[in-house]
Amino acid sequence: MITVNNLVKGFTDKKRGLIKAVDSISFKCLPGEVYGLLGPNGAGKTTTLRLLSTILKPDAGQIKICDHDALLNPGEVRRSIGFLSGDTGLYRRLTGREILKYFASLYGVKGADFNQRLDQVVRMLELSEFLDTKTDKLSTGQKQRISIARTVIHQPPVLILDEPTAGLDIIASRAIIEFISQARSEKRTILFSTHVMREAERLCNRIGIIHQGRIVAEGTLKELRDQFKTDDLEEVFLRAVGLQSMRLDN
Amino acid sequence: MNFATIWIVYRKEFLDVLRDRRTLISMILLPLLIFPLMTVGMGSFIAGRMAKLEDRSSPILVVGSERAPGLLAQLKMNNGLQVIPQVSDTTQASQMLLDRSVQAVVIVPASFSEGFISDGSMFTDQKILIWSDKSNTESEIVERKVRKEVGAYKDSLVSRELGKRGLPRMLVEPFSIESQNRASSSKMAGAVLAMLLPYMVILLTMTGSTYSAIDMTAGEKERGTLETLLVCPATRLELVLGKFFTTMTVGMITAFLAMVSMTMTFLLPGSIFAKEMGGQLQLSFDPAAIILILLLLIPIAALFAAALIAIAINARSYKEAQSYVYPLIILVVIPAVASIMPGAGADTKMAFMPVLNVSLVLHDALMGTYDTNLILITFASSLVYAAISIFIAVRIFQKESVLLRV
Repeated sequence: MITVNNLVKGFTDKKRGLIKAVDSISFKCLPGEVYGLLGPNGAGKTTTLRLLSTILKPDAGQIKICDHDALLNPGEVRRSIGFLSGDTGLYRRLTGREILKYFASLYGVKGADFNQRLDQVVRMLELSEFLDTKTDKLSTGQKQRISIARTVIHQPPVLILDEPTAGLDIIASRAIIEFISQARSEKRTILFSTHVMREAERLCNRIGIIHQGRIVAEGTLKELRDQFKTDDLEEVFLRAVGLQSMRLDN
Repeated sequence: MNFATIWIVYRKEFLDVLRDRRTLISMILLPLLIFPLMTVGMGSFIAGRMAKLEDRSSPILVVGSERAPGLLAQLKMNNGLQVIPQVSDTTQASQMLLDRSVQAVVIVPASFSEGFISDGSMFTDQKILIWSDKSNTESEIVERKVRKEVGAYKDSLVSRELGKRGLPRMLVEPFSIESQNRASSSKMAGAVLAMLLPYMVILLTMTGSTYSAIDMTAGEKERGTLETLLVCPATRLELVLGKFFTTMTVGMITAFLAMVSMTMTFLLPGSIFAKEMGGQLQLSFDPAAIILILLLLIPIAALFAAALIAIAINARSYKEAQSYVYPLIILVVIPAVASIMPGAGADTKMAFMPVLNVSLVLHDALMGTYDTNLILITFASSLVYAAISIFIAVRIFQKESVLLRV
């Protein structure tokens, strides 16, 4: 479970001064639920997810992941999450197996435990064909599957996915989407950011629309549609951030 | 801090290094090849070029040769000199020397006459001038040849006059003077090596570690793997130390291979260098010197590894990191070169200066001088500098703005 309360994070920019990238964000995400952070580029999605994964430290607010406080116990928080982003790279001179072994051992998964986990992810993601090939010889889709395997090798109860389909073709994105559905059925807690409406529509139980560092609307897809009186998620989004769509028939 | 985690990071980074062609070249190939190439290549190149200059017949001018026909004949007897037709204008002669159409100019003054000794007329100010261009190696060699011939000419004049008067030559040359270098050729070579080797080994340790330090910091940022690593339970300190020990190992391997190559090339009897010196060379370095060098390379490799990681992590990309690291290499070269300076030798003050201290202590050890106090100060102060650098590297690794700068 993820609980976020009044999270604040600012950056100092030489030209623009202090910028609040995340401005009093609060939300909750339960096991077996996919919570989507939907917003345009620069809305504060990546900063929020980095705060949750403890790469960044918040200026104010509280983050609890699986009952561990991210500020007081960042080590336990990191152990509980699997983190994946669209531009996650792989060590190109290592094979998939070596990379998985490296990350598994950093998470304390070793020996027989590791072999068992490896078998599971190899079967689930069909890695056997290219598991022992150096990753710079792999296709984008194959690399993405290794990255997914890397994300779940330690069986994290929480998944934090930062635009995981960004820059991927349809086939590679489908692998990610299937992976998210699978993880949801395994009762994992999944936080997922995207600016692709269709993905949000298809996967998320609840959506938080984020704009200029604030969550401007939140709810299930149905609740949002009712609130903004339109079936079109794109329209919901535009109305939530205070913009009217420029329709030709308007 | 968990040592097991540091070991995990170290093992992975080292495996990665062993598969990186650039690091392998600077870590293994370069240190192994540079010494034999330097000796065979440079040695025979320089020797060959000098011999060529010695053998060449170089053009010279004699201004006022009509006043000294004997000198002209003497100069013409030397096959290495080619007296070109007369020029009587000294300004023109000077110009020809400077634009290298002649390699030396001999000026016989207007008051000169070969019969002056018997005349007893003009004993003062009889000066024969030799002009050369010392910025030009060939001119310098020709000047020596000309000087020898002019000396022989002077002797012949003196002998002729002594003969005329029935006096022995002993009168003007009761004894001869000869300088002798009592240092054996191996000792001479040892002095040259003691100047060059510390510098080479320090520089190679630095260049050997550079690629791996950049690859596992800025390279990791560029490839987008750093963020994944930062989400792992490993602490920043453990990550930095894992990377630091890998870079240090690479530096140590480079240094060790450089030492092996150096020993094989210079120090062993029958080595390439010995053959270059005509097989005469029997360098005998104290094995203690070699052990001391290896020991001193530990803090030096540590210092370089920590400094390289602290600098390279600030860069967004491999290329940017390279441009940050080059000034550091120059900064290292200057103190490392200290061992080449004339009169180089360690003292207490210098034993506290990073890099410079190691360079000088190594120089002294290769010359057979060991000062335990200076060695200990050098070792301890280098370790302290390395520890400070690691501390700084860890601090930088904790800065959000640096790590996530893309």
